[in-house]
Amino acid sequence: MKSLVKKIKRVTKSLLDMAYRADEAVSLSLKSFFEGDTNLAKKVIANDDKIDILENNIDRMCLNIFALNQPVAIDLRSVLGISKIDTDFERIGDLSCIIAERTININKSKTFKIYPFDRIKELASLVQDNIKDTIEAYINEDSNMAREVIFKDHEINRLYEDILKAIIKRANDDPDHFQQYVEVIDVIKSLERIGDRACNICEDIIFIETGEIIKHTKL
Amino acid sequence: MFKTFRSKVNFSYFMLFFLVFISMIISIQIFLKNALMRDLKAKMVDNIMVVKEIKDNVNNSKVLQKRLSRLSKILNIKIVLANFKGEIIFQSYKKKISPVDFLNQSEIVQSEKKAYGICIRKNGNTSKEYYIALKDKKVYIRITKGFNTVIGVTSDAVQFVYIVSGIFLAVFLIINYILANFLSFPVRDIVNFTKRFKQGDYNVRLPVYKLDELGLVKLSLNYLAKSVSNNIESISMQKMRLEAIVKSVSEGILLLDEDQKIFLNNKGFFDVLEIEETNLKGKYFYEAIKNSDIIDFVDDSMNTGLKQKAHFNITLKGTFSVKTIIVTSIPIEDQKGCILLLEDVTEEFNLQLLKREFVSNASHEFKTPLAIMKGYIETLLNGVEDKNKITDFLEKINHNIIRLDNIINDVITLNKIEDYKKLFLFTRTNLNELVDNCLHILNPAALKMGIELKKDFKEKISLKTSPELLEIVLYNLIDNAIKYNNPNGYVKIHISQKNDYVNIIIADSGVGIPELQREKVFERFFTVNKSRSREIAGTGLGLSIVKHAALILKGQITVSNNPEGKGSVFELNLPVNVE
Repeated sequence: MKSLVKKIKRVTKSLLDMAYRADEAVSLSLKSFFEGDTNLAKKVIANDDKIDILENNIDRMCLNIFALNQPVAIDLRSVLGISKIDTDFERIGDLSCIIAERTININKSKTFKIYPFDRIKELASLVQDNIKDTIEAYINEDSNMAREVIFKDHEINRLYEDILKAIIKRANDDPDHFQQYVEVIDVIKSLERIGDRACNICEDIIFIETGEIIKHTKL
Repeated sequence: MFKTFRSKVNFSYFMLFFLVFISMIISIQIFLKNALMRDLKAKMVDNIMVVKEIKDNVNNSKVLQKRLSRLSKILNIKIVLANFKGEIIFQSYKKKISPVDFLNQSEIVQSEKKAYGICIRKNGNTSKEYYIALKDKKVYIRITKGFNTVIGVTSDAVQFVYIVSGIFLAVFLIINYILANFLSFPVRDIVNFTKRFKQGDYNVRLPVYKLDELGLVKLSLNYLAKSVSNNIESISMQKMRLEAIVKSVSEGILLLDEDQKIFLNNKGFFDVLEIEETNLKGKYFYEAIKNSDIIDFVDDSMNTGLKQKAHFNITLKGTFSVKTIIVTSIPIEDQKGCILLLEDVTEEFNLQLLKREFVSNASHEFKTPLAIMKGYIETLLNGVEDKNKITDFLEKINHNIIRLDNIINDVITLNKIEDYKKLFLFTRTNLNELVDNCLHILNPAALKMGIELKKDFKEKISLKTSPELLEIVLYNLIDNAIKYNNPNGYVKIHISQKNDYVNIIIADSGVGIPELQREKVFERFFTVNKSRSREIAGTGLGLSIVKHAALILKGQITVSNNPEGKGSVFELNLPVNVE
């Protein structure tokens, strides 16, 4: 029994490690995007390998626990939850890489200016806050905080729609930078998806804490 | 059931008394009964002897009958005389007795063998009666007396004993209660004392009235309490001192146990990581420090047991900025835990970056005019015939020397401002004079470009500031406004006082600054347009000087677009009174 507790502690630590890396990837890719820092963007892409390796490790550890310890009740939910959450964090890492790649492409154009800069920054900080809150909710086993994150995601989606419309309108007036606008759309789409992934994680957190499955239901 | 010492004492005393009284009552009852029975027997024997004497001495049967009848009335007894066949000779009462029945009675049977036959029994419906029989020469003599009177005496006596013993029992119980209270009083004192001591009242002491066993216990408890409270006091003093040290340190401190759980942290920890203060005790350190590299670093340090130090970049919530912190991990001996020190070095780190940048920029800025001059001088040395060309070359060399001179002057000024060791003297200054001075110096340059200098204020404004620094600021701002202006443009200077602040606005009709580069104009060696800057011998240091000077003057400088079309507006807010 003691070995099960130890194993869960270890896999939880690995998951947090992965979560911090994913969070850092998001923050740094956004910093590179807003500051036009190509070197930082390259660093984000290079760091993604570590997240992938961690995902494999966590999956293996979870499988090991299922096969050898047959956890029940809260332990079962934790391990099951971890094996689901790690996939989402891995995707968040990949989406940050997409932002970094698009940043490198955008930086190739000297004359292009990100539009609408302030609103994208607003969207980015909402998404970043949501990820940090998600990690906090996981650490504190706080299902209320997780519900708040899911609730805040509606705002992200609304803002995303607004920005998308604004960019499409602007791209028509400024056809010289059409390619760059498409890249920016890719960035905000990635942001919106990162927000969705954070929501998925929060749903899993609620499942771990309460055993309640709230996926595909209206809150 | 008997939780308190008192109730135990009460109960045991009560039981003791109760048992004593019960046994007393029973023995009294038995003794009384026996005594009465003996007494009754003696009386009956006397009676029967009297009957025998009368029967022996009176021969006349009529007289005998008369006498016996009287005797039975006086003594309240029944007398029966019968011969050996059971035939009744005399009977003092009316009921008929058959001879067979009479001979079979237990007292008659007993009287055959003993001197007297005694029997106590019920006769028909009547109550118990005492029979005594005697065998004489020819007759049986039997007398009978009601037994109830005897019983009545005993029960009266027993009742009396009950009442007396009841009263005594009650009195004893009251005494017992008081006694038990008195005995348990010191015990209750001790219980209260230990309860209060447990709750943390270390100053509580027991009153000692006399030195019996419990008194000695109280004394030793008092000694114990005193030494414990002294120890606790010294330990808490030590703890307070340690905590004060840990708290007052501005670096973040974390103490980890062997499971990597936090058991001590200070306020500096939250300040360094810029997170909200929460209770971290008992949490794992990797739940508080949200950075994978630091987690790996600490794991490594704890596994190897070696002190390590490294710097890390951490991302902050809400902004997209990065902080640089130095983490020192000091494992405690025998791997029983670890001390983590976190130090915020973001400013130092950025400053170092800036210094490196400054050196590379400055060397570049110095090299360019030198290279140009070198080229012209080499050409001149090779020999140039044309006098006009020589003048032209020398003019260009002169221009570059002026530029080099400007750069060196600006670097010196900038260093002077940044060097906080040089204190600037704050005095009450007339702003009008200061502006007039600057305009007077810069007027020739403005006239050269056909630029109009507009002074848009009249009232006299004076403020406490460093005139030396403020002149540098105003000179640089107006100089820039002229240099980067279009020919025949204007420079407008507007000064007004709003409450405690003096608002200085310098607007120009020049080339303006693109929106994205607006933040960068205050950086060293930054110029919006390099070729233009070179043309007018600009250094790229002017606005950097302005920014630093404004900081020392406790003012704020902002830049925006000129609302009247082209150009930019610099706005400087200065406090009227500086402490």
